[in-house]
Amino acid sequence: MCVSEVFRKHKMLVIEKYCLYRMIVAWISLSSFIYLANANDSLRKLNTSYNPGCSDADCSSFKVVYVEAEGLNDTLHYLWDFTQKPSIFMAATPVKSQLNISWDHFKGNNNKSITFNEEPIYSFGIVLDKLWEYNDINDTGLMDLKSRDSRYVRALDMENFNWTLTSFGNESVENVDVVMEASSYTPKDSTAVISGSIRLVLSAFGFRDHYGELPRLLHSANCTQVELVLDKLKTNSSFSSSRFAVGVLIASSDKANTTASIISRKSLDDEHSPGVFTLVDLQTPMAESGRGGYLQWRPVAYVAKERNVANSTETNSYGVTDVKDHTAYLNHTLLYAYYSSNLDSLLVQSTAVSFGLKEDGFYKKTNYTSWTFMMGYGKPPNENFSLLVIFVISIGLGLPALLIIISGLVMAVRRISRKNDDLFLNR
Amino acid sequence: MDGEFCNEAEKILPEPEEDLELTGCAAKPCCNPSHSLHRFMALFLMCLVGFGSYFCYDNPGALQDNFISDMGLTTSQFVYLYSWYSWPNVVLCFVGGFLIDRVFGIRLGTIIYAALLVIGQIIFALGGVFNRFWLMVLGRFVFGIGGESLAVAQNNYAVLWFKGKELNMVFGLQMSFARVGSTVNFNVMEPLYNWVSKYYSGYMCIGVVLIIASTTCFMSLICALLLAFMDKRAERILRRKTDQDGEVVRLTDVKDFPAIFWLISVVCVTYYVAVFPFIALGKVFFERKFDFTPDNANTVNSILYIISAVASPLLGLLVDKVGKNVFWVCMSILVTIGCHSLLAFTYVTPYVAMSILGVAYSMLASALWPMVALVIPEYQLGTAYGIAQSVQNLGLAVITLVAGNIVDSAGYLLLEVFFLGFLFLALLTSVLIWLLDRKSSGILNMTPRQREVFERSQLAAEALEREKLLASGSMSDITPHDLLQPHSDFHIRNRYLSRIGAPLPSNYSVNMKGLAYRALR
Repeated sequence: MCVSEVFRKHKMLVIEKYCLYRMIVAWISLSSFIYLANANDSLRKLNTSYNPGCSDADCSSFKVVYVEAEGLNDTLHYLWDFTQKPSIFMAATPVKSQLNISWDHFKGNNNKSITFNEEPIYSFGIVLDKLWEYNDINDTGLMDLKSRDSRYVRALDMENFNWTLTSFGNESVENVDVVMEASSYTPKDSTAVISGSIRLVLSAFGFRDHYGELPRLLHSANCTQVELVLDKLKTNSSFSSSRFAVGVLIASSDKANTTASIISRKSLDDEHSPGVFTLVDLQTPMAESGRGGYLQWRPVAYVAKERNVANSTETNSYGVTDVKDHTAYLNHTLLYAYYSSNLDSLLVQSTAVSFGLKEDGFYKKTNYTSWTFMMGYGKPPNENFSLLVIFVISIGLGLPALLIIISGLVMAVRRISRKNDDLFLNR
Repeated sequence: MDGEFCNEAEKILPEPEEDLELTGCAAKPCCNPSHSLHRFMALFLMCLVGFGSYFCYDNPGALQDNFISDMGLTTSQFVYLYSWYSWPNVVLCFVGGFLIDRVFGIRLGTIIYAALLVIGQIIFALGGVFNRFWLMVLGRFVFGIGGESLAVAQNNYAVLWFKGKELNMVFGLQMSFARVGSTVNFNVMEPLYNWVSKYYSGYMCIGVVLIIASTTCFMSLICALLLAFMDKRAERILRRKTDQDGEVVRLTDVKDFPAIFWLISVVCVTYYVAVFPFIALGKVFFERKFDFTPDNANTVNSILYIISAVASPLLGLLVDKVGKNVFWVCMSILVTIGCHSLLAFTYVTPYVAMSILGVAYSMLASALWPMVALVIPEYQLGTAYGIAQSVQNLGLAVITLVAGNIVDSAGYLLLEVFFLGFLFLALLTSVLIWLLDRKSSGILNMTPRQREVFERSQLAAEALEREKLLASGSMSDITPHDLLQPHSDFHIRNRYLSRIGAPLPSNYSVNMKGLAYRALR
């Protein structure tokens, strides 16, 4: 019995040490979190306009949202363009720099129709190029990017959707939400019309916080959040197991022979996005220095309007590949309007993300998929243990551990004091 | 060391009952109720009694997609098939256990509950045949009343036949049979459905499949009947239960249940809620945190059941040989804390944590449940097991809901911390049991040998006191010690009864009210 007693106490000691270790780590990360929050987080003032500076009758054919996010040291310019392919562009400039769009040139897709009067420190843009529908008959959740077989994959060019601005809500100096919706698709090469809707919800923020809705990504004042919703899309009737994937083009002011990289990090903490422990960063080469661009997302897609763990599936990313024929890909996008012929000496790459996981019942199960990512300037933010987690861990584990230690001590003391008594008197 | 004090007592002890002369079939091992072969035949029946209940419990789970498509159910409607089973049992287990003690008796009780099982399953099946969902839910409700109370009856049988012998192993074996039941269900139902669907379709097919499944409940009923026959015969031959005739459990007895019993119930809740609700939410956790494929996630999730099916009887046997139940309970809780910490705070492959968890869980189940039989006298045992099971059902039902909400709002890390908190509570409670037990008789943490000696010494002390009281009739039995001690009503009544020559029931004792020392054998 004595041996077991000692063993048990030893075990408790180990556990207590472990808890202590966790708590110390947690407190350090908390203090570093507060420190980081104070150091990095400047607030920005947002100023939003639609087709800025456009005044003639043609303006109705343009769908450009411009958000100017003015900070203390620099100004970020966000341009969200849905005139053709959905393009999202951001540039960091000195504070006083002004955006200038020459609409006539923009319409004619001419060189340099978008300029700033002071050269940007960094610029970065993405184009949502294609939506792929692939027939995942083996139920792997993965897409074979190389296959172009029409029995396997169907590409929907994003510019063939008819984008309309459905809501320009919540416009304030702190936060802007824009909803673009495409409900009809008319491909150039056939007459088939695809029903259902694609929604893009873009949000810009002037402060650092977690977004209110799952997957509750962490945004700073340097971020645009993009949410892609595929709602009741009619799938290809010859596909039995349709899943979707989105192809994204990236262009930035980095040098042409460099490459963006995708890094996925795991954490122990899934407080903000329950059930998702991984954070994926796509960084441009400059991001290391803190003056580059990044995309950040959780590899999770929600398959119903009500977002929760049960209604979630995974996403897969496929690395970045170089895009050779820049002009062909980026023509008719806002990125081309800005970078123009410079593109040949700049970084242009593509990536893809597919939605779905083995045995999740394919897209047809709910006919709904939503995926959210952050696009930002600087270094991708790091998630830390939140105050709540630290608090719960210290109370939930520390308190009982303390009680056990105390009861162990009491037992030990009683043992020692009982040695002096007659053991059998009490019986 | 604990056993030393009873050396003297042992001498006073009357010789254990002499073996009865058995003739005819009863003399052979297979028919002799005191022979282990005969007992193990009974054990087999006890396990089979539970089989039907566990097999049919998970029928909806095994055919979830078919239920939803054939009956046109929504997922939330489907969940009713389980919630209408479990929620009423938060109360009904207790009632069922009490009725066994008070009204039916163990034999009739088991038969009635097994019959309810059959009726419930048939109603459930008819709901399928006629495509009436409310009938199905009603069937599950009736089935639930039968099933959970049957589990209580099963525990009682186990104690009746195996206390002081292989009780821990028997509890382990019953548990592994439960696992076998649900595993067989998951493997058999789908092929069965596919076969039946050749002849019937839609809701009719579901109905027919369920009617076929109800044969397992019939088998349970037959086992209950056989067991009743065997038990009746054993009681007659072994003259069991003679001392405790006339003892009747009352509802108010519940408040006099020893504190240790309530603490055991607390451990039941706090430990089990850290296992089953976790398993229910585990698949996604393994997929996302450890990048498991859905197949692997299912495997690692079911590893606990597989291990417990194999390990529980073996570990039960170990506890039978070594005793010291409280020590084993504490150990398994500690190990479980380790496993949950591994899952929460590291990326070590969950195969490790879940395998160890499987062993710890089996150890706990085999060591914890028999403890109830050590602190509660036989005539209250049905009620006690009923209460423990009710409390556990309540805990599981509530915590499963809470756990789902925690995951959706705060993630798996906090869920794990939540479970760890419960486990620490369980550990604390079991340490408390240990302390309380040491303060009183210490029976929970004795080795089997010590328990035997302790029981005998208690009998001897009782006999001695009775003799003293009956012999004197004067004041000679009042010692100075007696005069100095405040007397309980109980003590005084005891003395009074003794003086007028009324026989004292064996479980009347000053030190331990409501404790039966005599091993049931």
